[in-house]
Amino acid sequence: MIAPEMTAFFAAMAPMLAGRIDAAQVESRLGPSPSGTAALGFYAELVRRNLHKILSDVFPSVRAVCHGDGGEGRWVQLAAAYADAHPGTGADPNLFAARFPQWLATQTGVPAVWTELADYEWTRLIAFHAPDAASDVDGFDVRLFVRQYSSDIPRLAVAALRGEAPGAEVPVLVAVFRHARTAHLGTFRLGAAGLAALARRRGLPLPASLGALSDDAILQAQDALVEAGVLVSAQSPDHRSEPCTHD
Amino acid sequence: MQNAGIGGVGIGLRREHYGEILQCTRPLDFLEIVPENFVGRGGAPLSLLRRCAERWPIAAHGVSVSPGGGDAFDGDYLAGLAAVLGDCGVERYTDHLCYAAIGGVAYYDLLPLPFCTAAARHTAARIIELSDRLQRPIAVENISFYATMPGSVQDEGDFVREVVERADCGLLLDVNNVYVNAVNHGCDPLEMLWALPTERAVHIHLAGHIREGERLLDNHGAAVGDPVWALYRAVMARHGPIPTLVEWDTAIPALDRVLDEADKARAILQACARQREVA
Repeated sequence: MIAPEMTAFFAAMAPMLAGRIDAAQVESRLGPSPSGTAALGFYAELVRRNLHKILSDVFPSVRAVCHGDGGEGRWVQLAAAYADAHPGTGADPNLFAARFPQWLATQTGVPAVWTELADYEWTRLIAFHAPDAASDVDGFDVRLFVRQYSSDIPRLAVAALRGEAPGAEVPVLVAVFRHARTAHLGTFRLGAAGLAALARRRGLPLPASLGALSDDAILQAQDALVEAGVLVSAQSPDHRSEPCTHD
Repeated sequence: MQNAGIGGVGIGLRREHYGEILQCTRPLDFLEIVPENFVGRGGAPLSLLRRCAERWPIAAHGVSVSPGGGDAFDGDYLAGLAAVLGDCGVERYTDHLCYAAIGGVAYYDLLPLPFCTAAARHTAARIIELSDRLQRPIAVENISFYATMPGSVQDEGDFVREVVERADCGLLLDVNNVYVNAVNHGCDPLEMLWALPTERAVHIHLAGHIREGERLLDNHGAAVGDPVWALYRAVMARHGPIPTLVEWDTAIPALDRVLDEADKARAILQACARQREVA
């Protein structure tokens, strides 16, 4: 049971911290701050800075392309609009950023490539921090994600941070992953055989478009994925302990 | 795992130093983690933390649990937190005397409570609950505050004392926060320091701050300032050696630079210990 004065305090502070009312309105409800109205209102600014910093840290290349397009103001505007739409929840600050890629996709005037950059950066983050115990040995959708982008997003992310020109739009199919052994982050460019190897490993039926691939080609691609740390070796103790249903 | 007892001078385990911390050969007595960076996560950071815990005692200092908040504690998060603390042999959990969320909305900031008995009772009860649920003693940090909240009828020192005495918990004495608060609120730093229940201090934090307009900002982004070192010496002289952490969380420099600050703190701490032996 919370004391009534504490309930009133939190109820008055919440809208100010979210930027919906000003400090004077808080004081009209709770009484004056001994430090003055401006000092009280500084807390809304501190919260805004924190949320902005979280997004800037999680999506540095999106911020960089925003800068190239409309300066810091464009990024600040996007960050503020996102914070209004999706306030932070949970202890992990990164989770505040979780819905940013999907939200960005709904915004008018935002190039599709920004949304794909946001998805790429978010995917790398969750792969990097994913819990070690995955639902399957290979950690699909936990430490290993398959993404198709309309542009070469991994290259564009690097170029954006270096302030370089984005280059031609070339669609790419990639595995974004945390290395199965070293735990380093990686991006592996997938061809048809690589995609088929991942599908088989996951126990998914191959689409007709991949049906013409030979078993040898798919096995060769699987070896390359294991070598790169995208997949766990079929000979590893972890993998042997699982029922072998994929291959 | 190392003996979990914390002593001497430590630094925060920060991402910027992940690549070099295990090669560190300089004096370093413990590492402090922000557990939010590890709870529910795996991969390289958790693996590194476990290796660090084999070599150094680990302290844990949370930022999001919201000891003074109005929301019920997140049971899943506390279970994950307890697992990380157990994994690293952390004896005591520390957090901030603040709130960080309202109605499920997290602000990712350390927000001050009104200095009044209602807030002290409320927060002390939650600290006791937190201690029970984590099965560990708790210490709470005096935070930097840029405004005294409406409804305050005590000064900061009386409020902090009422909370820690009601909760019978420790104080994590942040000496930089004392200085920043004294300047921002026009008070004498030593008066503000001794108004706090320093006799309950189980850890000390040292950090840097910056000036932004008329205000000092506690941003942990600079070397420890001379006035903060002076306050630290005063605490050592009165209470003797207390485990001390050097925090550097913004514009984080090379590990060696952070360890230089830790060396300064260790020299003060050791000199204090020698003086007390002589006396």
